[in-house]
Amino acid sequence: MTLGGYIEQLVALMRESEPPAHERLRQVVGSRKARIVLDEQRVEVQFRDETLQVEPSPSGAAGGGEGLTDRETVLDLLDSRLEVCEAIRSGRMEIRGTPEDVDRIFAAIEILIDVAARTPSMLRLSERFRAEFPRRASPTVAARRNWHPFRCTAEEFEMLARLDLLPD
Amino acid sequence: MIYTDVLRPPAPLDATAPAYKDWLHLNVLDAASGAIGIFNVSLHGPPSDARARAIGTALLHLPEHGWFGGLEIRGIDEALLGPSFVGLAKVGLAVVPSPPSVLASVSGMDGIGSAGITATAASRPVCIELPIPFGRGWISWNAIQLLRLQAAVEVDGARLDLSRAVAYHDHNWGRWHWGDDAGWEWGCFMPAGGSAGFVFARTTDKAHRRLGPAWLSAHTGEFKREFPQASIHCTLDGSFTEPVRRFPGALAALHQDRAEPRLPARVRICASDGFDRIEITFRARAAAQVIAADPVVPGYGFIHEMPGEFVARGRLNGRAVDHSGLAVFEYVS
Repeated sequence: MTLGGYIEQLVALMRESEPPAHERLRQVVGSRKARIVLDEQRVEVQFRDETLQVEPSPSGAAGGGEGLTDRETVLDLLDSRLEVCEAIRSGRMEIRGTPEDVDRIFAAIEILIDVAARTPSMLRLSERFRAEFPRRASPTVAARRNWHPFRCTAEEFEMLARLDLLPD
Repeated sequence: MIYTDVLRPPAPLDATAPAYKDWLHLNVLDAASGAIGIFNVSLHGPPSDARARAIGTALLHLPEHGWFGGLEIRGIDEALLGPSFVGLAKVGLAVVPSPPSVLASVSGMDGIGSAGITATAASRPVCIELPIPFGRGWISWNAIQLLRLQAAVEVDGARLDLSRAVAYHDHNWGRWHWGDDAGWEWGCFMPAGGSAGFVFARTTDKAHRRLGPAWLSAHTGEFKREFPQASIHCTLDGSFTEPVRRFPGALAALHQDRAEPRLPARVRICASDGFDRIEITFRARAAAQVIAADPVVPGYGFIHEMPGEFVARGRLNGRAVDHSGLAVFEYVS
């Protein structure tokens, strides 16, 4: 199964099992486009006429928000070896876009996972994902990072100082 | 001794069936290696509902190594169910009536290569069949406070000798939805060799501010004592600050707000009935968070398993007691 086929099926199963949640998902993302990248596969998703359309995505700048990761990260998350915040801090998962795009991407992911917890067919799909996207490297235990891997800007320091949040 | 205990699925036309839960549980504590194992199988939702789940848990904590194992989550139609047996592809657990025993089997669970455990009762079962109010529903339980083991366990590619380990078993069942305003605190405290054992339990609300009646049972080879509710005082102290392993991964991702739960670092339980008194002090060494999703209504429960060490001192049946050993404290919110 391709990444696009997997996403299509995930949302279709959700629509079948909990239509109100599907409607909530549709309202959260509206007509926005998002690009999803897993390993070398990249697709663009958008709701059109209440149905999620999944198409191959051209390279270049994404039209809306963008989520990028690899299969090892997804499997490490599913296997409880990695927390989402660690995946983001270590750069293994990237969510790009305006703050609103990013917010809506996370809200959409939350709706999907919440419904999956009550939908056996979605659970079985995650097993299919495991089978069809096997690891290419041994699982690793990521060290927990207590720091941000990117440098703070002068504006951020100014803001922290203004709020009296800098260490003495 | 014969111990007849079976799963309690809802009867046809039971209006409370959607809230059905059933749980067979085995804790293994090995003083020699410090290993603490948590093995259970549970049913969530009525067997007639396609959304119902069967979950197998096999977690083993080894000092200096950390957690091994994980969770297996299946649709209930994928589980092999017997009167007192739940079998999944990787985890199975059965209660056998004579001699009263609990059989557990694990294969290929993230570091636990295989485990075959036969735990035979060395104390009389405690049957608390009475439904205890729990959230919007109720919970009931039976327990065997001390079992001795025959076990073959392979962890991280090496054989773990559990021949001198002891175990605790209980069976919980009832009607509640994960996400209800309910929780519990529970602990079993077992000295090496099983010369005594202590079990504590009380129901709470989700915030652990409203506390239900406490229950504390102490047993030695000679006698068993249950302390009066009003005499039992349990204090949770300090903050457990070590990283918490969380299972299953997808639900951990959903609940980032629970990544650093407020858990106690120490637990102190005191009880006295005018004749006997006991004071138990427990210190947690690790924690795992098992997130339980309700299959019928949106809602989640957060079960924190905390292995650690304890000391118990006091006077039981006219004799001074001074025990130390391994323990598991469970904090559910």
